[in-house]
Amino acid sequence: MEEFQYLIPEESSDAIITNVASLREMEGHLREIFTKAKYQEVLLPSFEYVDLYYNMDIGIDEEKMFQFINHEGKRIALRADFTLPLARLYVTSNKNEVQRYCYFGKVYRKEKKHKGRTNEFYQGGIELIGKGGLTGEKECMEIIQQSISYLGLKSLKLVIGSAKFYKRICQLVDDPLITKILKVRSFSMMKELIERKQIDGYLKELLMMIPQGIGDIQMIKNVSSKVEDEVLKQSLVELELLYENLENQDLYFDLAMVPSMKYYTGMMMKGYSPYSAQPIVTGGRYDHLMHHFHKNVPAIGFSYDFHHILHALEMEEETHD
Amino acid sequence: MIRIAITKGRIEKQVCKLLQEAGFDMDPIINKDRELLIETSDGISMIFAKANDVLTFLEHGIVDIGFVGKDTLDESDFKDYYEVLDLDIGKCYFAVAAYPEYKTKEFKRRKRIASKYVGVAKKYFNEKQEDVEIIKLEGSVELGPVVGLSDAIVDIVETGSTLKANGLEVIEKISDISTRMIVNKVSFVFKKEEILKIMNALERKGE
Repeated sequence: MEEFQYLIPEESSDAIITNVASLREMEGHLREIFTKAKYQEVLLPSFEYVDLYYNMDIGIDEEKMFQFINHEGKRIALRADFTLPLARLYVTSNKNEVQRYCYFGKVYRKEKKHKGRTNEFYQGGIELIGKGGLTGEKECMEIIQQSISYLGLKSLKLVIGSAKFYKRICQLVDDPLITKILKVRSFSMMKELIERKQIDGYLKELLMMIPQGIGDIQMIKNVSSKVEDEVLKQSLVELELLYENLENQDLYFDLAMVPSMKYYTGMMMKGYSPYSAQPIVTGGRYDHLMHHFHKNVPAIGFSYDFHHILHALEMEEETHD
Repeated sequence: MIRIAITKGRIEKQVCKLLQEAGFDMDPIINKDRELLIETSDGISMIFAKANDVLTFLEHGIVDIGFVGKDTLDESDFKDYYEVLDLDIGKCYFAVAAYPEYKTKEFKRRKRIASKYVGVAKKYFNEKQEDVEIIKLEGSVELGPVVGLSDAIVDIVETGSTLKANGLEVIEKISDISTRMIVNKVSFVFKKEEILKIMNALERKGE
């Protein structure tokens, strides 16, 4: 078995050596910003019951979790996400008021083999629980905008979507294919769908442009002036309002953004670097997740993925050499 | 600069022809020798790769756009890309094929299915709620039933002449295949205009 002395399991990500200093520096800046904004840092347990994730049906497949049987004979998993344990913490610590949590640590999800993807994700982020609507979104966005500049990455783009908009489109179109079409931004499939369902009027026009619907605030304004459905309109007006309330308006919008976690209910955001094939920051509003804990509390949060950030930094350096 | 990966062979020829007809400079590619990376005067950098590798390059953000058959997309477990356009070329389909007796034969054991496309075969029989044994073959899958290794095959059917020549026939069609234009998700954020330009050019050709 000597060969195993030198290899690491395929599931692990390689030791980070050269970039530890910049990682720690980055983390330090973020921690300072988070705690200054009154976010309390929490260290969360490494193991959770599989059922915590499973019962909530949040979109993390069971087979993606690293599972064990514990001494009770129950299934436990390596932490696969920070939002759920933090929601539980909020509920069990019996808080009803606004709570601000921040965290740094790893989550573990099985990704495809031999694809150069890692199974450990080093994340850092915040959850703002108990603050709904615009004030919550504004606070969250401002913290992203403030902290993102400390990553040392150039030409980042923050893109905002709306789970409300997405869900309403699904209702209006009422076809199981629509999510798939949005996910892959298929112009061909969208055309077919419109023909098959004989969709007409403003909705047809809207659906035709959604696949290419990444743009600035003007795109949102244009669409919102044409939309006839009240719910759709409301979801777009919310995005406009958020935009107007932010000082830093370097933002983009994506009408085809499909919630990456099932629990998202409203605004969603993703931050992209041209040097990373994955978003370096993701987040969104999840107002119904607490229902699973029998509480009706709005919440919003985001997390940075440091592996993607470090990778992007390396790539950026290489291209500029 | 837009970076494109094209599946070598037929897809490469067809797509380059479409791009040329749409007004892109394809001369350096049509006249290429054995180079694997070529830059054109339109600011397109093109690499030629095997179908699965096109996906891998796209996944890692090495290229912005990929041209690849739906068969490759269906078989791959990587789904994190935009599939913006069906080029409507290279059309064929996945099917179950066997000797005609297969349809009426009663099996007292698990059926054996030979295929190069193990994922597609698994998914199909799972949806049919049939438990079958899948045997992977790398090529000339028709040999499966011919030599008695398997009861049927799951394979790509174009004209069906190979099947016919070996006494096999299509038992059931599974799904359509054609060439697709896929796009890296991050590229779509940063290079949307350039990508749409290529897409629109190809879409108009298809009409």
